[in-house]
Amino acid sequence: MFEAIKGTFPNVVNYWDRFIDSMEATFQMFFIAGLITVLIGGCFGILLIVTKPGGIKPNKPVHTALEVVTNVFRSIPFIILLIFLIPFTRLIVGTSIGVRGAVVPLVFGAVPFFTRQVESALSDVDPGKVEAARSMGSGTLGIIFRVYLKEALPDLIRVLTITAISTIGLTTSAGAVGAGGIGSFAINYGQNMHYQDIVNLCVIILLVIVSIIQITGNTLARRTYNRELFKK
Amino acid sequence: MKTIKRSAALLLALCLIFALAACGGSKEEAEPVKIGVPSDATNQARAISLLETAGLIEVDDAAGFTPELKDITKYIYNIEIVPAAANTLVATLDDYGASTINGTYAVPAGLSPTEDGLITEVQDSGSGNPFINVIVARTEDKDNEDYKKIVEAYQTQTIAQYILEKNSGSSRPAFDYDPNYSVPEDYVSSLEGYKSSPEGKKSVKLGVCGSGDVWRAVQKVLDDENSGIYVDVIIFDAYNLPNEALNSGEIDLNAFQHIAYLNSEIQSQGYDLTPIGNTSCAPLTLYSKKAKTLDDLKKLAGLKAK
Amino acid sequence: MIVIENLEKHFITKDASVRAVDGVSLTIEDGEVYGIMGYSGAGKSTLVRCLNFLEIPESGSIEISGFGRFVSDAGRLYREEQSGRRAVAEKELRQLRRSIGMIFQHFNLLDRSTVFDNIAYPLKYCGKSKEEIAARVDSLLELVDLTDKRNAYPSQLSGGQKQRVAIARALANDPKILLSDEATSALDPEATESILQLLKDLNKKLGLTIVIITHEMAVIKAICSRVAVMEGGKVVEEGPVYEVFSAPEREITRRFTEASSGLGKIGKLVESGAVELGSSPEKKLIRFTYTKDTVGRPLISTVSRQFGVDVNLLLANVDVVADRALGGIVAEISGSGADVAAALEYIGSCGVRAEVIENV
Repeated sequence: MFEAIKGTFPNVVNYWDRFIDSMEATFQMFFIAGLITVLIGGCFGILLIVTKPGGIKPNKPVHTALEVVTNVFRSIPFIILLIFLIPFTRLIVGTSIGVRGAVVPLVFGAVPFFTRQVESALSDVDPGKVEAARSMGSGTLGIIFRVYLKEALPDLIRVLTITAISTIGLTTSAGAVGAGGIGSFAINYGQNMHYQDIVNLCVIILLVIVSIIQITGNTLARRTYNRELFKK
Repeated sequence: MKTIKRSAALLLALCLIFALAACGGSKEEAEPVKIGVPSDATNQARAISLLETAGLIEVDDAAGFTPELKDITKYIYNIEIVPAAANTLVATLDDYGASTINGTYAVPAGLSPTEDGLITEVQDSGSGNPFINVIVARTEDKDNEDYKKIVEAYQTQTIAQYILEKNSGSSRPAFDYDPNYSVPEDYVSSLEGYKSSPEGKKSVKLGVCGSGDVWRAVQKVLDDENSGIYVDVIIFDAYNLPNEALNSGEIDLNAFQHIAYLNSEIQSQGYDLTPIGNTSCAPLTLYSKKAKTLDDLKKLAGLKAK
Repeated sequence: MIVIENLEKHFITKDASVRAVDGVSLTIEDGEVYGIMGYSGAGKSTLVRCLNFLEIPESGSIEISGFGRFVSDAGRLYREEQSGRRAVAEKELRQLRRSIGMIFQHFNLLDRSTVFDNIAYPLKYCGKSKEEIAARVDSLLELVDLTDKRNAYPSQLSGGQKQRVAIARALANDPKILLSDEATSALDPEATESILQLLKDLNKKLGLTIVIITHEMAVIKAICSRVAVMEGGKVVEEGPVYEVFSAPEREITRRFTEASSGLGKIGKLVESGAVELGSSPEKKLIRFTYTKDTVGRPLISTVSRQFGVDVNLLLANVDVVADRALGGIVAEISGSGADVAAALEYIGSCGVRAEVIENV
């Protein structure tokens, strides 16, 4: 078994510990940035829905401000965002390099995307259900949790999946600020040192990660969506 | 109807004539031969200098050691210079008439500067060569004792042998060493496999670009001397950040650039950085799959029409 | 009792301000089934949403027995108290809404919750224990006859069943008032009938005041005791259902009654050329409308015999409204001018309204 791996990926075996380090860095970035993105982007998405004209708590200034911020950051390519945010990153986490320094731009790159996704998932919730909840005396929070989030759960899982995959994509660029990760490993060891097997392995690993996320997301979404069929 | 048909035919004929004329025109002035050069400022300057040395172009003397594309005053031969990411030039060599490639990328891909190269940069470790790679510190820290120890650990026979063995000649030590040595077969991998722990040691953050493997060997030297220093290597994918990170104090040293690049960065960005020790030099070579010699390439391109 | 006075509600669109409810005054008695009828856009939905404060009126007042009197001023809601008026806080509004039930055209059930959880939704706001909630939901399920669907999901129910769940949910907090916004418009005739029957039963059994919004006259005829007809944000006609429909004063009310009885089809007949419009003395196209209990008399044959005129029946319909017969006939009467005039006079004296149809 080991011999087979060694035969297929000779250089990966030579650089095994660095490969493990880069995997670790990728997962660190993914989970830390992912968690923060879900929290912030989720709140933003909900706020966009709640404060939109005709929403349950219309608030034009907040809505417009959120719209502008999401649109601006969504239109900046990540690799530029990475450099552009350096002073700000330093201000917030004290450093602009390494995994810590990469998390801030990752969040800035993923939040607008996730915000939009959440917004579109929530706007699919029938306004009639919201009105019914209001007529039953639900307040803003009640409507958010008991109607919007509950009814849109399958869609929310789906957009979470898409965002997770795109965040994995973003982490591969984070090597520019010295955060390491699989993307950086592929460039610095695979491409620069011309070890094709390292590039191949990195592609395979990314493919596997993305597939796992996609399959998990699809399964969960289907489960929640067809709950009535599974639980008779 | 007839008129429409006639005018259509006339139009078609006219188009044909123009197309033919255009073809004829381009035959007089053939497609220029594409020369790939690294897109980053560091290597591009060297590539332009190399192309000047090769006699393909003329460059404004005022540009010194760091010419840019705009400093090219004349194309002697009919070539077009195409900047591309330095690490992609090997893979795309077939698409260019020729490319200037760093030894660090060319040699692992099986290209030999002596056999496959048309012309190679001449680099001596003597004074004045701006293309020697250096370890850089902030000017205020240039006399730091720990940093000096790191430079000393780098400039040892152990590391010289590592550089030569590892890079098969694409990169050479830029300090005094003994060229007559013999090493065991696993010399490189045993050094690269060395793992140190930062515990109980003073950590020094060092930024590099590409792999930082040589620093594992340096760490071994440091540990063997019980220096109490741990070199924390941070790999950057892009050349534009290690100097910025060093100047702002986020890292303590960096080692990825030659003096020429450092100087241009200091000039354009106002960094307060100083080189504190030489590491290695990796000459740039002009490779081609289409021409065997420099003269072949020149023939292929032809003189640039006026 | 619900007393609405001079209620105004405007919506501001891009181009203009729309008066959705324009100076409406109504009184709805306790325990009655009150219908509000109108075409879509007439403002009836907005009006009913003002009753449970989903919409805050621009101005006007609403008094609901048990809740007190609420006055709107410049889009702000105040409660009238002895010491003066006091602004109503959002929290208080939510409490008010909880005590008024509402059902909708598209049921608006939560698709990812079971029937049980849907009905339990409003109960979670009143601090009851789990057991109390379960007991309450079960008794509501019994009330709407859906005990066996307790753990089903809405997607497994028919439209009529969904509306029953919605009714149970609306009644969860034991409201005295139920608002129904086109609750049967998305249902087939059979389900409509069963839902209307259920509402009627609830009205009797629980003494529930029901306000029904609809564009279907059949619904009003089936269960309402009084009706208000709305057009352009205003109530144009109001009163007991039988009175309003037997003697419609407004064009819109007449259109509703005709569409409902099928007498409006005369227009189509005229258009097709099968019938001629006419008011020559010898031949008249007449619409008779029965009122009171005149439906029992052998009117047509009497007229034909006594006055020597020919009566050609084109359309006829009798409805039962508020348990009384209401109907009409469209017929062509021909004969000598004097006979026709005498016949029409006789018909009028029998309590049947006769009008000459001159245009459609």
